[in-house]
Parts: sequence; C-alpha cells; structure tokens
Amino acid sequence: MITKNRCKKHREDLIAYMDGELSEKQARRVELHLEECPGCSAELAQMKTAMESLSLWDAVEPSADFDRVFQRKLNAVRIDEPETRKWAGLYDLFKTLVTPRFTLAATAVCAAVIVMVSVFTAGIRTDIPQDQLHIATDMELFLDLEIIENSEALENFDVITFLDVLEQETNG
Amino acid sequence: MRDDPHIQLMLAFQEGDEAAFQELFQIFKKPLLNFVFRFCQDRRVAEELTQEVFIRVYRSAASYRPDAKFSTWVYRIATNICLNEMRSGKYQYERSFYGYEGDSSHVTLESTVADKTPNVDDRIEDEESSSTVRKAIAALPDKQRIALLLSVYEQIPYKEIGERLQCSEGAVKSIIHRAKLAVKDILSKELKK
Repeated sequence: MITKNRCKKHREDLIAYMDGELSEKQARRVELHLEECPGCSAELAQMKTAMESLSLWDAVEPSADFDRVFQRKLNAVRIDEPETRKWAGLYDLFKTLVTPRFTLAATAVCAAVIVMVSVFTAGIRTDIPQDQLHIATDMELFLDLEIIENSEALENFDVITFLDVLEQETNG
Repeated sequence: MRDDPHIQLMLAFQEGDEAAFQELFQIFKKPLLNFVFRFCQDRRVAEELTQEVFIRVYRSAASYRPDAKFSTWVYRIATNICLNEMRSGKYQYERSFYGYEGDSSHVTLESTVADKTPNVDDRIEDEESSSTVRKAIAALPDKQRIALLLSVYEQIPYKEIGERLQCSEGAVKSIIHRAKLAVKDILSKELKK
C-alpha cells in the first residue's frame, strides 16, 4: 500500500533523480518506489515530456554586428580606463580596509580620542576674567610663601598696625 | 581550479594580454547571449546585457581572483546583471506571448524555431509549442527562472548553480523542483487547450 506521504517524499526527489543529482542509494530508493507506484511513474513521464519540450527553444546566434558594437563599447571603456582604474584602485583599497574588524577598531579608537579630548577640555574654563586668572596663576607661589601662610599671626602684632607712626618716630 | 583554461586566459588578460580577453569573449559570447536571451526573452536587450557582462569582465581584470571556475564567475556576473537590469526597469523588454512585430532586430523564439522547420504545418505546431515553452519560463519568479535555465540549457550541476546563485545545493534542489513543477503544470494546461 503506497501512502500519500511516501509519494510526496519521493516526488520531491523525482526531479533531482531525473537530473541525476541523487546519490546511488537515494536513486535506488526512488527507483524501487517507481516500480510499485503508477502515480509517481506517470508524474515522472509527464515531467520528462515537459522538460523535453523545453528543448524546442533553440540557441540563437549573436547578430552580425554584435562583435562590432561590442568593440566600439570596449574602445569607449579603454579611453575611460586610466581614470576608472584609479578609482577602482581606491575602491579596492577601501574594500580591503573596511572589514568588520577594521570598522570595530576604528570606532573604538575614535571613541577613545573623544573621551580623552573631553576629559582634558572639561577642566579648562575660558570665561574667567584676566585679574582672577592672574591670581589663580600665582596661587601656587602665594601658598609657597611662609609669610602668607602665617598672615593671621602677623595681623595680631600692634606694631604692624601702627607701622607709619613708628616710621615717623624713627625718622623724627 | 588553476587548471581551468579560462582562468588561465583571464589571468593572462590580467597581466595585460588583450588577446586573451578577446578569446574569452569569443568562447563565451554565444552561451551567455543565450542564457540572457532566455531570461529576458528579447534579442536586442539580451545582446546589450551580454555586452555589458563582458565590459564588467574587462573592468574587473585588476581585482580578479580565481576563487571559482571562470564560467561560474562570468555567469554570476550575467545573473546579477539580468536581475538588476530587469528590476530597475531600464529595459522595457518584450515579454508578450506572441513576440515582437515590425522590428527585424527583434528575433523572437518563434522565428528561431521556424527557420529550422520546412513544413508549414509543422512550423505552426512548433511555434505554438515553443510559445508555450516561452510563456511557461517567463511566468517563473526570477531565481527559479535562472536556476531552471542553468539546469536545462547549460546542464550545470546543482552544486555549481548554487555557487552561481550563492545559495546551498539543497536550496537549488528546492528551487529547481518548484520551477520544473510550475513549468510542467503550465505546459500541461496549455497543451490540453
């Protein structure tokens, strides 16, 4: 008893069988099925007839001026060729370079550069007035001076408060 | 792969031997023309597209690498040109059932068959049958049409068709199965009329 499923499976192989594309073992399996299945045998016969009718479509010959027209087109290409080759070379280089790995690496480098530039420029303010900038520039120098560090102590000295009086007395 | 004489010619052309290119042109112009003609079914368009294939081959010389058989490579170019040009609509090619009238440059399927058949009745019968064949093939989706043409007219094995269409051998088996079933159904219906 031939089941529909078995026929369906074999019919999928019928065309490959007809084209000689099955392995020896697969082909033998199809042949055994064909021996016992008139439906699939008829299908194969129809298919062979259909494919034979395709041979009615004979090959055509190139037209008489096919070569001449082609050579004319080719000459036009030859004139353009030095320019074309130059761009083709650049295109080939582009194709060689732009691989997925290259794209990934280039993206990573760009991202790193952007991050570094951002970090360096973030701390630099450009809107500071010149006088404040001067103080800020000299701040390190001020901090290094011991006298400035102890300025509070100096303020407690009376003598300093009346320095001009002392000076007058000394001169006088 | 390097034993392929056509690869040797292409490599010679790559080295500057123009005669090698002309030899390749003479070898492949007819099979490529027929492949393209059967795909687009218009002789004038088929000749233009076939010439375009060879222009691409010429321009590809510098970057050519013999990774596959030369025929596989050149038919892949032809396939891409056929698919791209037909989709772009650049060529309004003739796909009407009874062919083109009035322009002698348009050699249709009917005339190619008719020329070889002396008897008038036989000619009519053959013309009808071949028109049916043309109609059946034209009705197929692009990929099925290409796979069928390569299999039936070029006798290319499934594996190589897969390389040309850039799909697996299993996929080719399935595509050709569907294409041949569709052609058989159309032919059966048409021939019953």
